Amino acid sequence: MIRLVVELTDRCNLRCAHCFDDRHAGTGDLPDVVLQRLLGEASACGVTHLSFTGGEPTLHRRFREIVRDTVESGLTFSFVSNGSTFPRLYSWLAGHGKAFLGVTFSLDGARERTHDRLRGPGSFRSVMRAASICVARRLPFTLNMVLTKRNRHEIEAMIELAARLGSGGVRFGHLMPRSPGADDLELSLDERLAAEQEIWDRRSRATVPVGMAPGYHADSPFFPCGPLELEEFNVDYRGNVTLCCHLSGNGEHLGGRDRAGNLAHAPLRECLERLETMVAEYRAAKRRRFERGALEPRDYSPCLYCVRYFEETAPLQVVRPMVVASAGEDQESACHKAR
Amino acid sequence: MSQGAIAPHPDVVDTELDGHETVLLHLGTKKYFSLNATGSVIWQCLKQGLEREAIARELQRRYDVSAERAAQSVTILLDALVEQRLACHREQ
Repeated sequence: MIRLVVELTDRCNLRCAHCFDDRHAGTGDLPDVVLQRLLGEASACGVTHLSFTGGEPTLHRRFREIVRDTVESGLTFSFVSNGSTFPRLYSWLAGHGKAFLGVTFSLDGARERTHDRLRGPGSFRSVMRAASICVARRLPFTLNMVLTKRNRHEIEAMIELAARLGSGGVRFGHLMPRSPGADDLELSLDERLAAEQEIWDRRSRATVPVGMAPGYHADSPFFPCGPLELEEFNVDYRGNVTLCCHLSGNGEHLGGRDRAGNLAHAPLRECLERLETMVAEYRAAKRRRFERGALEPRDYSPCLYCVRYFEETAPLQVVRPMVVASAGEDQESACHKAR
Repeated sequence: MSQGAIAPHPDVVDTELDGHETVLLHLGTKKYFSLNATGSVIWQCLKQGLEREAIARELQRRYDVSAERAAQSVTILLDALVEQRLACHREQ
């Protein structure tokens, strides 16, 4: 059984401090031709569930039709949302019965000020409204918090909030490296480990399920996350089938090495077979590195290792320009030189 | 109970459902409350800054109730809202 994370759009109505620019560049929705192929071929490839992300997935101009077609294809679905559009969706959503496995609301602070500082004014209350609707209409929901320097101290409060709101659980995840402008938000490796320890400690006392998205420190260098177990893959909003939703958005900097093909041009089965090959190569390379004793402490945080691996194996990488005008030069001429 | 002007508590998030129900969530206590159709009308009036008498008149306009009954409904709900910290006395 395979789950697919499907980025329906890179459009978003928020401008979160820690998000990849590529994720909300507003350049497009997942093309219809890709969706048709995906839904037509998914079941035959062993796919049972679609998890819609973005951008804000509910902003896809055909979101309702996509959900309808998903259900008619015999698949279950869930989605991640900032909650802002939920008041327009809930009554329609409730009609999908058991095919709808739930919505995850992004909540990056247990306190309004913390969350809104990261995601924009009013966004905390949008999530609270969405949670209120879910409770009143008995729709399953969970919360997801991306750990940053600004909210790392609210782990305990977040777990308590999730419990009191009636959430089905709370999941914490690390900020992926290379989020532009996120240098002041990203936890150091030591801070990551400390946050993880706090989460594991508090989990045992929590009254709601508490988890961490894959990417946390693992004692084994061969961490069994969904993609590496061949259980979960990603489709980005351009139709690229990629290894992992965590790496998506990093793809440009990885030289596209995490891509197995584009559904506009290749069948899903072919893309999934390439991913299997890609994972086998990845595992073999990591084992060789492990046997050489060449793994560094940060390599035991799986997502950090993945970024390193794909960067190192990318034949061509995009380099972010850092233009500094020297004395007597204006910015414009400096930019010309950089090109 | 005080007869002073009442306003929604700033820590309350209200969500209207299907046009005839309102869920209130107090961000401090994290408790949810549900208002029925009549309660929702009263809540909307509170948000508009209406005072008790004006709210009661609005109820009379919308529903076939006596002035006494409308005033009583408003008083009962406003008292409950204040008690649960969903509304507070407005500064004059």
